[in-house]
Amino acid sequence: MKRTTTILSLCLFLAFFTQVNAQINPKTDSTNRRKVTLSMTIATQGAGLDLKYAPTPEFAIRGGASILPISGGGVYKVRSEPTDVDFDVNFANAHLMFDWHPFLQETSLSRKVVVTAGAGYFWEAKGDVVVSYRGTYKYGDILIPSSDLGQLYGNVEWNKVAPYLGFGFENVFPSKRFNVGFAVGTYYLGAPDATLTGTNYLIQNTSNQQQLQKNMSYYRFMPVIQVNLNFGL
Amino acid sequence: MVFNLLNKKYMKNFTKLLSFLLVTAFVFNGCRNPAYEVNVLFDAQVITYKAGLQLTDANGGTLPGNIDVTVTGTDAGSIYDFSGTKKIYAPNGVITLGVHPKEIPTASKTLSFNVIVKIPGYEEKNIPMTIAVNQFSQEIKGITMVKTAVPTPYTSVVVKDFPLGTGGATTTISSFSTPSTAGVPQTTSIAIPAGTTFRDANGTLLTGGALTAQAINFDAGDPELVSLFPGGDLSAPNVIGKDGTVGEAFFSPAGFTDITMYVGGVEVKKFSTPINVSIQVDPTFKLDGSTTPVKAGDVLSVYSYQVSTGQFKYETEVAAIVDGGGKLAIPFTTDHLTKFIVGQVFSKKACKIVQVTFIAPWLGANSTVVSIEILTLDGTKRLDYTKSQVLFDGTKVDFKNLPPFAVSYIVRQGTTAIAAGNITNPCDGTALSVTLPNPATPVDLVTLLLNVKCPQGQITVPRFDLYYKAVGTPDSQYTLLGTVINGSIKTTLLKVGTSYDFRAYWGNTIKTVGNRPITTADMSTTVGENDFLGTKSPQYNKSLLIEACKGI
Repeated sequence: MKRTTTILSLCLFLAFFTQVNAQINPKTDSTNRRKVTLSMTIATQGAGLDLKYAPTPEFAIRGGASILPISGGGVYKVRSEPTDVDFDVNFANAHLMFDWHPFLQETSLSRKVVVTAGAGYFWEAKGDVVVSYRGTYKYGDILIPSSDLGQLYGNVEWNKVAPYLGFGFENVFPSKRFNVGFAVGTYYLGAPDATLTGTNYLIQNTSNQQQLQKNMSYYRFMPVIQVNLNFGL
Repeated sequence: MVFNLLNKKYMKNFTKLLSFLLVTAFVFNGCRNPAYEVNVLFDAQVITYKAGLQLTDANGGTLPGNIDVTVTGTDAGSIYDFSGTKKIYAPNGVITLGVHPKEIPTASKTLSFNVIVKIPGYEEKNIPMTIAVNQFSQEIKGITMVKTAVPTPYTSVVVKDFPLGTGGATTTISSFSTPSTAGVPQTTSIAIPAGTTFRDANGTLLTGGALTAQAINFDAGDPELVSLFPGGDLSAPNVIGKDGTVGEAFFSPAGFTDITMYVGGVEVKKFSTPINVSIQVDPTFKLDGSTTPVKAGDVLSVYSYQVSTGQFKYETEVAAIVDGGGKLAIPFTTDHLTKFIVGQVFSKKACKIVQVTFIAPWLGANSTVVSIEILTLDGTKRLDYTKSQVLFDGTKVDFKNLPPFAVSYIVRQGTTAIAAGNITNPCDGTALSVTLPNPATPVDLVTLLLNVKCPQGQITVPRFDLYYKAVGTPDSQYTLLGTVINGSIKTTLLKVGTSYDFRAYWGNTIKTVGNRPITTADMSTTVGENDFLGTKSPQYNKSLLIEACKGI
């Protein structure tokens, strides 16, 4: 949660920064425009590198890759008993995007708007979770400690190819080689495949797999909030 | 240029539309909790090793509700009621025991324990039991309970008071005999010499106005003797033999008597002077499990049995005589009171258990229930009897209670014999296969499936034994249908188009569903607090369900 808050704060700050930058550089200066840009991206779908080629100010083609390995865990309540949940999420993609600056004639912030469409190939798009019940299961007078109860293993895997649509703010005519951009968008990953298996006394939970699959079918989009650190080549 | 076509208004709308689409994607993406309606289910099949006892009244009456069941012995700590409680329940005389999942038997450790059954007014029972590795026993052992003061078709009873003199001694020779009845023609006679005094288990001299003497004589020739015999089997693990060593032995009883006496309400255990006992011998008794009838001069053993310890003890050997009534009898003297068995006793110390595999491919994944009777080779004497044995194709059953001499066996479904054969050497441990032939008329393969929904979600139903009977027959006709596992039972015993009464036991709860028609081979149903709760007693069912749901 702390990590998410930090990223969002950074995004807002950079968005504000971009807006300020736009106000102090209102004019178009084609001499500052660089056709090839290398970008380091920090985003909700991971960190990565992009190489952009802009043959005209309005259009650009961008290719790159990003990865997002996250591991973590927490303690939740199940049946009023603490339950350990450990997860491991891996997203890694190579993508090809087309950028369009539709409002370059404007003088306001909207002139920096960039609309992006494209697709990503996710060679990793999955999440694994291991649930361990900390409580003691009572069967009459028989007490079964958590160490004997077994574990629940959940796995969610999305499609490998996902289209992308989004928009952002980019300075097409930066005064310096280095500038910052901001993008918001989403990949459409489609409904994932979800599996749920249990061991020992949790083995009956395979019957919950259908419900999990149904629940996870709501997770078709992968939201992207991205900061681009651009370096003109 | 295309973007030149966009005026300011369109540009603003376009931005709004794109923003709206993205915000929509963000907001609605993952609005469902991944754990929504995913209820963690704990496997209710906690107990995998089980053993059952079915207590019945010898006169066919209803057993009282205050049945006290305790488990003693080496591995008593591992034994629970099948519902998981340490307290053992016996609703309607049905006792279902289970082994703690962390203390199950292993290849090197067979669990041994004794089940003590006490019912006021009935003879106390001490039933030795064992559970070996992979013996997920689905056998129900029949135990016949005998009232101490009421005769039955298999027992005769005498109760008599004798006045006692100064110091609690008998003043004359005090004699009494069990009556000769149609069911038990043989008698047991007891004669207490004059001047005999009586002591309790602690050796304290008992004084009082009168001695109350009681004897129960069992018909050693009746097939029911197996379930009447101490421990519920003719095979016993705790026998002190003639050589003084303890081990397993097989009893071939020719006579069996339980003698008790009380002075002032305190049970007598010892006498100052040995008393005379004469037990008449079953005239159909044959020596060594053969076809040789017993005759005068044949030497038979006398063993005593203490119900509190479950131990048999060699007392003496006596040659059979012809008594004053013209019947063969074994006379002996004793200075203590207990149960006495006369007959032959065979050591089983060197015996290995015979494992029998039942082959019945026609069962598919279904089960059936059979009875298994072990007899002498000539078929005249029952040596062991399993009333209800659940079988699947390939089920392995240990024949633990065989004598060390050749026997025959009969497997029955209901009253119909479906397999029979001989076991030449039951002591050598040679595995045996018994094929159950295809039924003459095709059987219906019926599945009963019960899904149970609690407020927290669907639960898995713990294992329980399900009994059934034909509609309209008395409750005594309830027989085992099988064990319900994960809420499901597949059986060959039900006919589509027929109605049955069903009964289940769980802990101390009895649930009966009467007149339930089997309308299709797949009888699946879901019950829930807010769903179907049955048509006969939905409120009672609801209370059962709520109670059951509390446990998850």
